[in-house]
Amino acid sequence: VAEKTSEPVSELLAKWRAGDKESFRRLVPLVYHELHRLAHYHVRRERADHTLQTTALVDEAYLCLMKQEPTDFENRAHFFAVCAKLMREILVQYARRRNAAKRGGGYKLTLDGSVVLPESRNLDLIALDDALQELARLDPQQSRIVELRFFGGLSIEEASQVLSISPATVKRYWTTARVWLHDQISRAERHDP
Amino acid sequence: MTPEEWQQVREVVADALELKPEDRPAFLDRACSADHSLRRDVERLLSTSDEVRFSFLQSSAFRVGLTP
Repeated sequence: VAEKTSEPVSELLAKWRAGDKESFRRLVPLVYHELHRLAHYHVRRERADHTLQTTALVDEAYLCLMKQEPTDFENRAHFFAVCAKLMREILVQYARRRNAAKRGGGYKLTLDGSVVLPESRNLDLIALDDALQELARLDPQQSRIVELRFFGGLSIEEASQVLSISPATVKRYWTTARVWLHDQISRAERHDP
Repeated sequence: MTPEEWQQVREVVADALELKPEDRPAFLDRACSADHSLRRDVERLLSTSDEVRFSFLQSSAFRVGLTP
């Protein structure tokens, strides 16, 4: 819900970049609203077409929101981190709603299969979200890396800057997090404790 | 699993993944020594196929679609 429509996202971003911390607090609901609008648009369009389409929600949102370059990296990194978190929330919320709507056949939220291997074709976002919460208990930083990389689309280098840890460590944590998540989700599917 | 146990498992898995598959058993013998529970957890994670390891979560979430 946009609370202050008189102040567009670009204006708040500019103020935030200039050091006004308060504008960031006002920015988050607007970003959330914008991401939601884009997600809704894409999900609806795909459903109407009955086709698998690659969507670029975050890309598009970033483009909309970050038109004015350059921005200083700290703000930009923080902004990406917020977007990644919001994107996770929105996509999982959509997946839950879909599941509730269909129960017993119909749609399943899946990853686009255009380039990916069979294993990653049918990813249950709700199961991933649950597993990520468990990973956050074991290591919050690894969970954040997955959020930034998978939901935020950040590269290893960008994630390393956001988290102030070396790219080598990000890579190490990212790989082991993915292996662990895959194992966790597969076992949950088999109801294997 | 506790955070401390995971940290231990993670480090052994990460190191093992940097080795050639044929060099892993000897490494695990050293890294896990008599800790059978550690070895079991590590081996389970290492048994994840290369295909999964290279592809899982590698295309980001915004490539999301709906299929009937």
